[in-house]
Amino acid sequence: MEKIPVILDVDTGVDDAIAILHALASEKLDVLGITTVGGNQTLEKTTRNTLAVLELLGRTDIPVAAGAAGPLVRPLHTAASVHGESGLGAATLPPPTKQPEASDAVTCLRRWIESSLKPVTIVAVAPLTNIAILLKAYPHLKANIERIVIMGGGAFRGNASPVAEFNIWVDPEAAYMVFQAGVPMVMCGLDVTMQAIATQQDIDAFAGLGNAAGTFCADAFGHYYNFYKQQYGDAVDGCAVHDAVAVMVLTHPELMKTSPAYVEVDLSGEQTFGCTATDFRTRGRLHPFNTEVVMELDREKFIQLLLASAAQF
Amino acid sequence: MTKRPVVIDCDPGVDDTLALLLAASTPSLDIRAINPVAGNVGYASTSQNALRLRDLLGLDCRVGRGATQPLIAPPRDAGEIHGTGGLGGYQLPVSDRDFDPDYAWDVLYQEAKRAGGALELVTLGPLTNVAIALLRYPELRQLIKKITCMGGTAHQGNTNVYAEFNIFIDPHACDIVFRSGIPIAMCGLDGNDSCMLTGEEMFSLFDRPSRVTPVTSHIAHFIHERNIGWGLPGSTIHDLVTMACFIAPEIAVYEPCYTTCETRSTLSFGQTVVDLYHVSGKQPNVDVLLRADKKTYMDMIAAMMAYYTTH
Repeated sequence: MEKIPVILDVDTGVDDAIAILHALASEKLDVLGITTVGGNQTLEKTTRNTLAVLELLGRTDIPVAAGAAGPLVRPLHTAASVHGESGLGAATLPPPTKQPEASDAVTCLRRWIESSLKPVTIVAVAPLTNIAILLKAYPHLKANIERIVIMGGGAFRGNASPVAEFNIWVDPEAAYMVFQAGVPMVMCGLDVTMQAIATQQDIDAFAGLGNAAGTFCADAFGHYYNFYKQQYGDAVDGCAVHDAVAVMVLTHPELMKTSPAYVEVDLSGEQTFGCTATDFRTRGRLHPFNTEVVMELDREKFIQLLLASAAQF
Repeated sequence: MTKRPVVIDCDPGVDDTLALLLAASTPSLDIRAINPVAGNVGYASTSQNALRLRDLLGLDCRVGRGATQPLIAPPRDAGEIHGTGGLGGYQLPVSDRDFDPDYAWDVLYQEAKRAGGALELVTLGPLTNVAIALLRYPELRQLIKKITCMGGTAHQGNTNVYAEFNIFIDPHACDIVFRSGIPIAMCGLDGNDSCMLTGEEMFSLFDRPSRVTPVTSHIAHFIHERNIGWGLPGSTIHDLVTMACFIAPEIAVYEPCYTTCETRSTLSFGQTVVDLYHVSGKQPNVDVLLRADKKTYMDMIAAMMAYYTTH
């Protein structure tokens, strides 16, 4: 089977780390490189965390390029309350020995996409700042991008506000540009990622794997899990592994249900600012569909696959 | 038994008509006024229909003079969705009774005072009249027990991506009402859809012989044919579901949520922004309808049709 060439754009981040782990464990993906951006934590921390995770997994062969420190036109809001001060919850990883690439993320993205023989899939699980700059600066690259799979947004659900999701809300202008770019989009929003729940039992199962990757996952979930308990109480039975859903769209699409929609990011609303306005309607919709919206996920299988991935390292 | 005093604010409208018929067939209600507002069709039609429906219902309540256009948004209506004249082409006899000399907002305030805090309000159209009342009489917010409102949605809209028609027509009015502090039950598109009826179910109810069958049957067939034409699997008679939830609160399941109205977005102008998952940390101000019991709803319609065989 031919592998799918993939670039990950991350702000590592507890669930970013799990997404990277799953991507590198899958035989179906050829990870060309990883780019980082300020989001869950500062760019310095998300870059360091990404390098540290790759060292833990023994995959320092994967190039990492640092990108935008903050959103296009706004100050950065991080999610330290969710991901902890380090960005990796309660996990402590040794400082990475390897440095990021000398070139910045957009330069590397351009190089990796131009030199790929097959169209590249971008999996972006962070604010879309890097991707927006890439598509505006080098629009010719769209021809060699298969599609962009994002973790972000939500059709009927928010977390930064009642209707806006954090990754989109942090850099809504960037997200607007990406959705308008004409590249096929797949949106894993909160509608589906809030189904991607790791329970306490699942976290114990990661710890029980007995390898370094399993222990890391369990530790990373520590602080993150407590945030979910505090935020959602009994309404959610664990913590959401949002970003891993976007990778699993490529590795195991059979676990998902999707619906086509026209998605546009709301930049003008007072209450709805940063919402991915998602129009599934057949009657009254003003624009053609531009996005496949993932709405359902087989949670049990999702967690089993993540456990199997962690067991590989 | 003390009757529940209620003012019904509406924009009749095919489904308003059915809702008014249900209300008037309910002995536990004391209908104090039917206040028309511009909405489904222009004010000339909704106000005339309100006068004529008062005759059809056999009521002697007040019909106040309502708002002819939204507070700020441009005047718009739902076009042919309610047919010529707003009643699916059905012509009711012209009334020989006139409007109340007072405006709808004055009528609402007077009735609220008269009811001594017990007055409830059911709104089936844009919230313009109610907003004007709240602006004109700030103390009104302490005088209305509850507003049951057909409008909004926590999911997909029917006018733009997230906006429901009634709210879309006058979002600024909705904003004023939702901020008022008056307890609000919001019966929106998504919750009402739990009472979607098939054509067969509709006709089995609204074709039953009674004094009002010429109206109910005409409207039921009008709504059904329109919705089938749109490719919908059935018909949700939104105003009727709302009225049923008002009359029989036990059929309705609500979730209290912090809810605002979007008045600026170019995409979702008029969206009811419902904090369904409680992420804002703000105090709920609206009970959002999640679903209503369809079987009891249908039983209520059947009882209404039976009522009009003798009334």
